[in-house]
Amino acid sequence: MVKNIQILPNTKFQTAQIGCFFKMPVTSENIAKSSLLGYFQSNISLAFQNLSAQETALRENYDLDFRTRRQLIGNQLIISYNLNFIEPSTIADPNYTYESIIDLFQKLVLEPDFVASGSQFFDLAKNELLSDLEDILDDPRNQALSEFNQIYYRDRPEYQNIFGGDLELIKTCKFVDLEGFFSNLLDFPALIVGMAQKPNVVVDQLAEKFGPKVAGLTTDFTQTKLKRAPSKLAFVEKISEHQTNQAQLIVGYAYQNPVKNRLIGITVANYLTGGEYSILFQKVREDLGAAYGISATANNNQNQLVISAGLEKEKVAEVIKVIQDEIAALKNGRIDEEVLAQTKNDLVRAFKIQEDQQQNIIKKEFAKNLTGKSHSTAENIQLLKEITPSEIAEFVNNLDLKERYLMV
Amino acid sequence: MNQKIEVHHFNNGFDLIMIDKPDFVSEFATVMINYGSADLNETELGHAGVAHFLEHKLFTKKSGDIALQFEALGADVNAATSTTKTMYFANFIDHEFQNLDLLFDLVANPFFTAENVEKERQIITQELLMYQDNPNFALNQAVMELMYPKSALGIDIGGTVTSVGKITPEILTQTLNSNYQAAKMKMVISSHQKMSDVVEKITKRVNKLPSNSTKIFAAPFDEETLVTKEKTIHGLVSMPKIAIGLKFDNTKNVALPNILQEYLVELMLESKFNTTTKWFNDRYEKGILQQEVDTEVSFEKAGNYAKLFAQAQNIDQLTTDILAELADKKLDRESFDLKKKGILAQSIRAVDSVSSFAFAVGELSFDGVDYFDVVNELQQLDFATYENFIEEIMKSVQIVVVKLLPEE
Repeated sequence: MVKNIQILPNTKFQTAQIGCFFKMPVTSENIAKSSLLGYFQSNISLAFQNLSAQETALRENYDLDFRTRRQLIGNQLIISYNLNFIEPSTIADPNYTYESIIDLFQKLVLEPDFVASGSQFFDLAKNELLSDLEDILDDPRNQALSEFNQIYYRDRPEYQNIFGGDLELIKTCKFVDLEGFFSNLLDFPALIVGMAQKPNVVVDQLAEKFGPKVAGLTTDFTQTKLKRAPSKLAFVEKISEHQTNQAQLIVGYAYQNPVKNRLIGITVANYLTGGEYSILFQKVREDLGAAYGISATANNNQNQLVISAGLEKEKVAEVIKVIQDEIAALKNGRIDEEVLAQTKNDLVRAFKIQEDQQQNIIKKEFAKNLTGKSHSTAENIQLLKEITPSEIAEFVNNLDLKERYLMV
Repeated sequence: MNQKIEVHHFNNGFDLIMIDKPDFVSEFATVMINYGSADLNETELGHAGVAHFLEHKLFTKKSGDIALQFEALGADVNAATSTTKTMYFANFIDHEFQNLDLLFDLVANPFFTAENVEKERQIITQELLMYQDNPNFALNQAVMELMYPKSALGIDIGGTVTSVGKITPEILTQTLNSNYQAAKMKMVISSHQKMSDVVEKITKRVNKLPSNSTKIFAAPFDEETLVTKEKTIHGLVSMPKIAIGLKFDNTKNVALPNILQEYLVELMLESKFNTTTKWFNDRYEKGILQQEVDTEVSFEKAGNYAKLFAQAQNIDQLTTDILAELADKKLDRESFDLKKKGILAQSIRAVDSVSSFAFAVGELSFDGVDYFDVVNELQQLDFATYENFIEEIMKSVQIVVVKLLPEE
């Protein structure tokens, strides 16, 4: 029996959405192949054996938005196929139905063109991916992030390449390798979540079209051990020379011990750089005029906090000192209570407005299935309110500086 | 589609537009000023970037940063400048009328001093440098400069480091007084509030908005024949890139609103170059092109233009191919029908994005056009009207070419 299909009722959006997710362990090979597969399937399939045919089919169906994506969540690689489409009830077209849309979706996801004619497009997809990766790295901010990651994960190469994967593995991947990867994919744990005005109709269609072909839909999708182990490497400071107007600074910390309150990391990140109230925004941008923007992100699944900014080159040393001083202040329990209150207010708003964002509602449903835990907005808000300055100090004392990367 | 939009016209020319969102938790409000970066007379070009600078600087009030007041109410506030408009906006879940009050405070009550203007200059300079570090910025900038050598459209929205250096508190005050007038402002709100309640709450504030005679622009609409039509620049890119600019004449006498003219030119470009076309597929399958050709079209106060962006190893051959295709007068009927479907879908999708939809409705309102009327008009448009329009507009088009080559 197919169990991993959950479609939520759509009561307020103009579009419906379906996401088909596959979960597998993170390896450099899996990442490289999944990137290639994504490009290959975005362009052609058995039903549409050239770019034009596939693209026309999408546009003929009122601009179906079909995207493939690869995400690293903790120690898992999630390959997703997402379809966003106008609800059929909005369009007076008898040929535009859930059945026809899901049939098309199934063709795009489950029937890639691995017959001989597909190999030409495999080579083209590879060139396209490699060209895109070069393009991405032309932006110095991405170049900096890439170099930062190479260092941060130098003991775990499977996490090093954040854009697309290992270039050598992509280049040396053969058509037959990709075909093998795809046929194995369908056995990995799979999940379909989405939203539509007629959820029962959509579930039935998905079960009929995907159920027989995706063995993974009957497997438990929950990942009990999701977290990536924190880095145990020694601190590295790297200065990289590049021809840019701004310097790029990235500072990375590892959490050494598990967090007690899962919202502490995000609270600290927002305290540092959330809004105009935040500490580093005030000190780095408003007081020093050293940057247009500065950002901090905390990821519990990666056990990592990262602070990054594009800076005026002459003020880099000052900014580094500001960051060090503010982290030290937090460690010593010197927390600005007003800023903390403001941080919590901001996060409460952010949680509440997720109910107006279809993408976020589906993301939450996905997360529930992945972790086996469900967190309502009310729960999150309560958890947030419970965070105390001493818990923040404890969290920050738990941070271990692992890397400071500077591109000048 | 059942999206209710109401408009209330105040006596001083200010408009309130309410987009009914009864099922949404969050609310969004924007004040849009019909003044953007390109609204500069010839004598004002020396301080290009003033609209953007003003947008930044208005956040500073005598009591401090007004963003903190929004944030204290749990709102998220921001602003943006385009070539035609300046927009101040907030997203919130409660304290609706207090937030609206703050928006009115934001666009008035200036506090410009030599010291705080200097401070903002540093931040804006970092913003400009951040954009300039992206290699695509130089390409876009060069094509706009070639098309508009004498007007503000040829200058980046934020200005240049030099022009921003010339902005003084006096210039900011003058700019504010000349342009932030009731008749040049609209407020767009996405909310579950009733129109009558909002009108009652904001009338006092609206009546206090300046209503002096507004500044008349010397419509800096370049009609001249371009002298320089080609340029080659170098940058830190992996692959050669190209930008082709199409500068159209002033077509204000054409009996089609700007937005429809934009759609028709978009349609023409997509029918020639997008991934559904034989033109693109042939080049993709031969490995000449790896990515699609990006197009951008704008019909606005200061000029009507389109841009195409592409990259390829053999950039000279690609340039020749694109120009040849542009010169081919044949238009494709299938693409016309497909595009109509696409625009219908886009217009339906847009409704779910509270902020984008509010901006789109506001923008069209400044042109005296209703969002859904435009969508309907396009659906009714026949192929002959499209053909005639394109034939007319392409008769006098001036084409410029910029190549961006990798640094040697």
